Amino acid sequence: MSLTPTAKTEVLRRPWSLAMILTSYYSLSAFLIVLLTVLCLQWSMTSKLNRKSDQSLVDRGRLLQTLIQELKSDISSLLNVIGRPPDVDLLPQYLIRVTDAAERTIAETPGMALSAPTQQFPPPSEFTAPEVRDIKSANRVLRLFAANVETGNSDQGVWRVQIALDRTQEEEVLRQYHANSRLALVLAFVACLGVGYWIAQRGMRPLRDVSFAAESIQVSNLNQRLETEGMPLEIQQMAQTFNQMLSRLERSFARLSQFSADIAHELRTPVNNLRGELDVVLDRKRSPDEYAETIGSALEECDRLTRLIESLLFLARAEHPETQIERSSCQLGRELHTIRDFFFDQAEEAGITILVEADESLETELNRPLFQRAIGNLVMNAITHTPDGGTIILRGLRQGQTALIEVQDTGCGIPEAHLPHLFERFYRVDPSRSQISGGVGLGLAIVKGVVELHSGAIHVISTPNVGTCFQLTIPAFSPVLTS
Amino acid sequence: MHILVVEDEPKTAAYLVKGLREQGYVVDVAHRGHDGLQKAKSLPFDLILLDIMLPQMDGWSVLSALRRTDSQTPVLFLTARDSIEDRVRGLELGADDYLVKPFAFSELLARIRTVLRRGPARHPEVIQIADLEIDLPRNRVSREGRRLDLTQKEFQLLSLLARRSGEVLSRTVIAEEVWDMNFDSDTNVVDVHIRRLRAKVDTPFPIKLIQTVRGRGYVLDADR
Repeated sequence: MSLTPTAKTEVLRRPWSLAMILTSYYSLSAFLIVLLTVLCLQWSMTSKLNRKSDQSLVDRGRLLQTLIQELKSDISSLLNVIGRPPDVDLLPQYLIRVTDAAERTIAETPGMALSAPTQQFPPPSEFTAPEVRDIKSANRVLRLFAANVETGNSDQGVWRVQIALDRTQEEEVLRQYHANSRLALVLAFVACLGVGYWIAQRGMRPLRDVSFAAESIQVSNLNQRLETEGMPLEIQQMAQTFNQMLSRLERSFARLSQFSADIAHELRTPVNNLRGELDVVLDRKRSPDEYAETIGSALEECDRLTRLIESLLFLARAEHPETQIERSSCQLGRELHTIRDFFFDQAEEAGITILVEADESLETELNRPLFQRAIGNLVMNAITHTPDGGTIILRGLRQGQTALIEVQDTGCGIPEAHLPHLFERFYRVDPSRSQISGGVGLGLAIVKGVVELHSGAIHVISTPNVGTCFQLTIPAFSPVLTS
Repeated sequence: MHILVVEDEPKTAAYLVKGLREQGYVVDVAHRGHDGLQKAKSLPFDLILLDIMLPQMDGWSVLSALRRTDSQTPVLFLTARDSIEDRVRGLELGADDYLVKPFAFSELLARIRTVLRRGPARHPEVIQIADLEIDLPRNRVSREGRRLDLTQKEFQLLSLLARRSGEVLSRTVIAEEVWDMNFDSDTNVVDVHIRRLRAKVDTPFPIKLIQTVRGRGYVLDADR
């Protein structure tokens, strides 16, 4: 939803798709968990098997020690214990050799000299801390262990037992297990990628729905809204924001098209008058006076059109945020007196008194023509709506750094329902009446535009049958330097 | 007085020529920027009325090309564009005035007179029109030798009409000159002032001096 132009993003780097990022995060983390689990299982299995082998070696060693001590060097019994190969085909699980202190063999399992010669054994170690060594010999994996054994016989001294454990089966199990683990890991990786992608796609679907809906919105169907029900919370919020934006756009567009319709309507009346008058006068020969009369009337319609166009142009400019006006220091009181003088006679003919109550020392930075236009519009309105014997008061007061300008009348007032719309373009409190009084409903919109161009604000207080007071607050000094 | 009108819109050009000729000016027309520049360079005009939106070569270009060789001839811009930047640009290029369409013809005449007059106009101290006599320094008005009692604003209004006797003054010009009000509206505020002035100046006397010109404004003229 970025507002930067897309061209710029393309020049930089193609952004990552959110689905891709999510997929890779999901897959990677899931795969890491699988990997850790597998490694952990492998480690525990290997170490368990190792411990078991070591333990059986130690057990066998202890058994031998007991035998040696009990049999008191009865070699033949010992040989029975060590055993012969039960079968030629079947290899024994343990190979045992007993040597004396000088490493001369006293007894050994047949065939052991070949598969596990004496020199390959690790140095003798304690049963409590066995030192073992793995060797490979003729397709077999042997774990070797040696220990010194007290014979309990002084002339025989210390013997040594060497035990080899056949671990081929365990190694095979482990090897198989490793191979299976690797395969499982590869499968898990693929599965993680797939599931991650699926999750991401699924998570993004509402987002895609929103974007799809947004794509389909045109000026002609601005009344459409996104269906937020059933959406995930986060997306719901976004969709609601989007809907609010649509509502605002819809309102603005409605206002704009209403505005265009109003303009067209307002243009139609004077143009129609022009056409009609000129058509009729050309219908037959007429006296010069009649021609002059008609042309004069046509000119009046032209003036009306000109004023309408100027008002519309002014409003368009006032609305533009970058429009700046020139302001110069004016004595507010004197300006109000000027306006009073101008309207005095007309007000007097309507039986209305205009008064000025102003802080004569108050200097305010104003654009004079615009200010006169704004206050003039308000005074004209006041004269139109104030009955015989009424009063209009123009006030100019200081309020800290701002000037408060009031136009108060003792007129018929404005019903409360109209107050919020009063400053809208072409808004008329009484449509039928304003046509007679000549206004087109732009006067107050212009007043507001002027006040806003002066960085000020306008308020209206009105009580039906008591009167209306327009209050304008304008910063006495413009915040920026005038051009 | 020789005036060049550079304007591509045929109707506008036609009424400008007609109106100006009737006022006694000698008028030449060019419908394109190039032609206008050619004419301006070959003949000594007293004033050039220059439209800005011209095909091919616009008014800005014509003016800047003209000012390279001729810095004297006054130029008055006529345009439908009235942004401040446009005005500033026109004046920077050396235009003497700037008039926004649509304008009243009387307004154009007033501007032309101002540009051609060059320098402050000299007003007589006492204006005499038919039996009306206005003594400006003394703020006195009399008809048939009888003093008229006018307010300050009524006096200013009457002397404005008298100074520019024979010239139709629009309500806008009157509001500007007499009340210093830049106010342009449908209301008949000025009409009320004129009516009151008439009641004092014209009603008691057989010769009516202040005339209403429908659609244009008011004129003080003894011969109408």
